[in-house]
Amino acid sequence: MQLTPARAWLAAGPLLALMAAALLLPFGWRSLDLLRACLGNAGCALQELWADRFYVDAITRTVALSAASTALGLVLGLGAALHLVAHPRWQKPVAVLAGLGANFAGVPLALALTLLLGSQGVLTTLARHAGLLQGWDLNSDAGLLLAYTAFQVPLALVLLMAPVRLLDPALAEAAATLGAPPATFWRRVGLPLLAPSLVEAASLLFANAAAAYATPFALAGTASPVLAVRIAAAVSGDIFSQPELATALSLLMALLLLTVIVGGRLLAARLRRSA
Amino acid sequence: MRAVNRPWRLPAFAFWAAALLVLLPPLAVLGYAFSERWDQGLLPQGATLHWLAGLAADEHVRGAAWNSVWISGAAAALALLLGGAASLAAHLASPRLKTLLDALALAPYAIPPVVVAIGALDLFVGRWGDVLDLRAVYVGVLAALLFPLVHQTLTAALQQLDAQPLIDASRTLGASDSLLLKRVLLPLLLPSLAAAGLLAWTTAAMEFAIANLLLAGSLELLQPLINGLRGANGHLAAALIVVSLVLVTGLGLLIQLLTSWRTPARSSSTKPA
Repeated sequence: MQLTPARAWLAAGPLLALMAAALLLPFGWRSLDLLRACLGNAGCALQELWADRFYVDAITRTVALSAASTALGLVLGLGAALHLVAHPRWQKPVAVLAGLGANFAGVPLALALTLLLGSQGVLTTLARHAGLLQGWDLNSDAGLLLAYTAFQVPLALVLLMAPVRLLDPALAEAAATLGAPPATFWRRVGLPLLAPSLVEAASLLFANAAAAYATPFALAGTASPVLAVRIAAAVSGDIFSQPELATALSLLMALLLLTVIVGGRLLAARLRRSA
Repeated sequence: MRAVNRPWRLPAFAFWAAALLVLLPPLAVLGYAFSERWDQGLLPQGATLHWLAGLAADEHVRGAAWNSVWISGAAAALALLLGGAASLAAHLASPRLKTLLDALALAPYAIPPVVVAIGALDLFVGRWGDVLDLRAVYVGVLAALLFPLVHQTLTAALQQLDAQPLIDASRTLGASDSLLLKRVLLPLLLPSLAAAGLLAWTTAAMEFAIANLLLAGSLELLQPLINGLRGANGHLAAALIVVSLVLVTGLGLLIQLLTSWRTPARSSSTKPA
């Protein structure tokens, strides 16, 4: 039997049906409901959203937290990848550890950080005795940034290892022979060559952070000030359910993530073409 | 001007900072799981296997662990079966289908688990809840979110195998596509299919958002149970995390082993069967 394009589509049919039913249908259904309400005369949840500082704050905080943890993840991940290329014997154990680190998000990470840096945590107590970390709060923005960075770094390393390995070591040697310090080599040669991969990795890291629910929820419960937790709290909240508001927030989040991912891909493709 | 040949310290610094950030949290949980108390000084005190033994005796934990194993296994199997068939068919016969699948593999990044969960809660539980089984809904939704893992693993494997010349050669020699699939591609892809399945399984078993929002109150899974346990007995929660992470890391090692077998598999396939 030959596999014709028609038969290939037939073989993919069950998967396409599953993706449509499980992802697109529930999301599209709610979004259509919302748009219908917004186009009609009745009040619209989108207007409610902008009127409420609470939600605007969650959106800006999520964007800032995702951007900052992406930047930190990229810097540490890229540095670690460069170190690993220079020390190949570490590569195997680090690959396993990066897998562990990527799985160590959400509830386990929240428990670990509470043990180390919670209000009664080991490191917090020690630091307080030494006169440091007096105003530290794990549920503050700085605490959330630390938690996000902890799961972004292993992912950044996994994403950047392959492109860094492909970078020709002869280029760095040539630059060093010609008298360029490492910083100059990276500014003028290394980073421009890695730029497409960095952009792609950044967009995935940003999406990963913005979508994170388990870590902030396990750290601060429904009071957590990030968008993903606000969306869930709007339907399963402690006080009352606001499904329209949850839909408006979901729509906003999907638009944000879609822009970042598609924008990242397009920018990376453009950088690759111009390189 | 400073010496140019001075070793560059920044990557080493980043590496050790990253190592600290990644290693310290699991080590803290490990210490807490095997100690009586940890509230005085830097190190935990009183080594004990008490919490680990407590886990095995707890019927609640055993039930949740079993639920997690079978429901994530079902989701991974569904993702591997439907996703694998679609991905292979696209690679073999339809570049347009492959473009569509590549785009669909990005959908779970754009529509995150929380958004999927509240949509499913409204439609499948609120409207069609009488006719749909909640566990089946969870398996289906999770399988859709796992599809990118299967698709990306298979795409990378086919690229690394350099499968196109094999496909062309078999077609030139007049072999049917079903024979090509049965005798050449599936045997070569077996380690990658196993790796994709295991990766999907471990990812599904660690899932929290949808389990917490969709199944809360009807079916207890491991991650929500650990979250609930944290408040009651942190040591027990830590022991449960250690056990599940040891299992996941063990399976991760197996995945590494399976994916590194991929390249030599082709040269051994030239031997007569």
